[in-house]
Amino acid sequence: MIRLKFSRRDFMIGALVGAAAGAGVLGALQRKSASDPSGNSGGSVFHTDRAARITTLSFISVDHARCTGCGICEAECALVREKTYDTWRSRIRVHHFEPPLDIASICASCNDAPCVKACPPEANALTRDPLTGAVLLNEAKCIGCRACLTACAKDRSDVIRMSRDGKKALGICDLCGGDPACVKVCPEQCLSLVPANQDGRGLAANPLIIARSLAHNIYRSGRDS
Amino acid sequence: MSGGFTGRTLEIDLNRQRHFVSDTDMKAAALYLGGRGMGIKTLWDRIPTAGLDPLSPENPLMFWPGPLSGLPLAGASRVSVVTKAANTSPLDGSLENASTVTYSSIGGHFGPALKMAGFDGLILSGRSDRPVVLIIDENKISFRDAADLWGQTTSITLETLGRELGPDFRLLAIGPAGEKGVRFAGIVSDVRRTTARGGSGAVMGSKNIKAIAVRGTIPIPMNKAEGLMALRRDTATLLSGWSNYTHWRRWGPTPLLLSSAQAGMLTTKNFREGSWQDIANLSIPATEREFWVHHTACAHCTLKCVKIGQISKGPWRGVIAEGPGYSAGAMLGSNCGVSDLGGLMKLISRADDLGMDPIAAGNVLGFVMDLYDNGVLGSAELGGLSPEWGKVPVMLELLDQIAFRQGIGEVLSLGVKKAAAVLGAKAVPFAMHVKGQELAGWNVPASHDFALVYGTANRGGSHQEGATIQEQHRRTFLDALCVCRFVYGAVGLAPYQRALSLATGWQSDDASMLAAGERIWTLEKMFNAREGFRRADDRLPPSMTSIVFTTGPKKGASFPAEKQESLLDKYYGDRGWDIKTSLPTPAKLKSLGLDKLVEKQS
Repeated sequence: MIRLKFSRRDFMIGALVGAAAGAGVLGALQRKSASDPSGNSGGSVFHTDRAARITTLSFISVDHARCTGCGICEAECALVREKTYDTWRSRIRVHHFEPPLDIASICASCNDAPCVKACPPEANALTRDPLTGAVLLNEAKCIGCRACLTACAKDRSDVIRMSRDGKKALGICDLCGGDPACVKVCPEQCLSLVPANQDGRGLAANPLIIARSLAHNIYRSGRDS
Repeated sequence: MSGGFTGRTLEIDLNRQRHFVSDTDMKAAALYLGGRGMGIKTLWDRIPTAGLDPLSPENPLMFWPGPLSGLPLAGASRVSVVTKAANTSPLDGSLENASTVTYSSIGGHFGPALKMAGFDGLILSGRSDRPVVLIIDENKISFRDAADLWGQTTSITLETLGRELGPDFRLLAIGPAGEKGVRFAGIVSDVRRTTARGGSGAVMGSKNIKAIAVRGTIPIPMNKAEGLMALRRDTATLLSGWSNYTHWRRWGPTPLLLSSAQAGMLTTKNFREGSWQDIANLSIPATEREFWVHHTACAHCTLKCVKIGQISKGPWRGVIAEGPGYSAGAMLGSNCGVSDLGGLMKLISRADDLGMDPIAAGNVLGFVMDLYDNGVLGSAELGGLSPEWGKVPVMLELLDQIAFRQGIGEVLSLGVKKAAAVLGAKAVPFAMHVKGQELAGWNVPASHDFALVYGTANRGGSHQEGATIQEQHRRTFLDALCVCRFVYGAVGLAPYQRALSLATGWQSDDASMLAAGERIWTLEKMFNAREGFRRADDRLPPSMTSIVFTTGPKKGASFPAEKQESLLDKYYGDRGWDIKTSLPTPAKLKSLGLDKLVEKQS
């Protein structure tokens, strides 16, 4: 009887927390996007007005178990917010794990916002939206010091990354001013904009940590031997 | 540079473990588009003579996304893997290593990632002196030693690399079958899709490549971005209006097992029957109640056909597998007389783990069980195994023996055609193949069109190609664009034709689309013709004509031999090919602009 041995009964997910953060450094090669699609061509697609505009402190919560990893939210975010199809500019990112799981990762609007605290006073590029509580990044003011990136990567969602040229921080969701495009477009409805009656920080976790716990919930019978 | 292309093709010389970037041949791209089209054009250019050993370093293994890959458009998620096939062969055996072209395409995220890494294509040639993993991180190309992964299953390999590289890399890996040169080994992706037909896994193994990892985020230049974004919305709307949309999202292609059994088109017990008494055990709703735990989608698609499950009880508790898709479910299920879902999913997971084409694996197992059932092979010849219909543990043992080429597995690893030749004349009638390619999960007696599909497919007995000439050309066009057949079935071709125009700025009308399809198809045909394939190779095995269904809704159905000949006569005639030899006429080649290309090499 020939039999391959699985040396471990457990999943390998989660052994290298922080590996995702390393992906933030990119080659300098920057391709020119096509001209900005003007007008409404980047507007909401697929479905409309699923979520009513919320005007109180809010955050987007993700039902990770239902995420299929299609990446439609990524594309929609880049189109609506940045008028580009360059998903590197998306403020929501989908990561793939093994055994198959996809984790959509987005800013959790932590109450204590370590990113805002980390931003040097002389830059003052990060502020809070008084209406929604979202963290707002003023790109013109950003000095590219990476302090917010480091703060977010440590114990939080690890959503901030550098632009292709390494000069600006990217990736902080501003909730589209209270009517987020990704929430409306997700075909699985696993994104929802919810009023903040709790600290968004509770949702903030590195996608690898989320994947590890989710793997044990979805693949309940463990690894076969 | 026209939009839709990066203009760069990544070439890896494994002999020296060096890489270089060449300019994409844009003149060829205008004629052959990408995917399967650029694949055959490049293969034709790089293999100038017949009889090259497909497992030799000189056989290029190519991954071609298409001009729509990397665009946020539902359906444009595939990648074509093109190489000289490891498993096919002509009836005329005078040329030892003669084989067809093969083009196998998979969905998921690898194709878009490769394109967004900045490459229109990836061409591997030569042979590494040690097992390696090829890592493409946009412009940074590197090799990782794969000594620790060699011999490992695909799932362990994918998990290990996923952990090491982080979640933004998309992965392909081979299993032990590819390493050992099993002729029907495939390459398995991180969403459990296999480049199944034609033995691309064996070709990859022969090059000592265990896995390929790609990370790509660079957007593709587009000619008319605004129009494409409007098209993205329209295509999504069209797709969500598809009459099957809701239940396809829920069940994927699995219910086809039921409808096929009702139509008498299923393959049961090595093609003997067209229905299966226990098919309800293997399909919905059982899969939904007992097995599926997670749905996964290809890039930018809402259909989420990737149905991942875990067996939660019984002897196969803990097994994680994808499917059953139609082909794997039919071939490893009913074709082997399997009655229980747990056993079927264990078989599929094992075939995926070993890195095998599940269609060919099911065909080969059905072949062995049929031989055993008919007394052509006994336990003595099978190392003490008794492969009775539906006995899953024995089937698993056989799969392992095939992957490691031990015991009877050494012979079976050649595929049914060559295995039957080794096992003797009595075994030959049980080998269900065309050109050495194992037939897939659609049976012929109640659906004679499939004789033409299997017979004329340029990679041998494949079910994918379409039964009319026009449909063959439409699907070839789709393969060149790397667009999904399921989404095509839902929204038609028009969105993709339009997308091609918007992305590249090229004019694409129905005529030019069909012409591109015909050009690609015909060049593939000429590749095969050079290797010695003729009309006789386009026939189903004669034993197919002696099958008469004894049960089920199509009881009594059969496929008469004369029907075979009349189908082929009409087909070659309609194509403008020579009816006797099946070869395209010089006038036909000239009309497609292939005459000079073909002349150059003859």
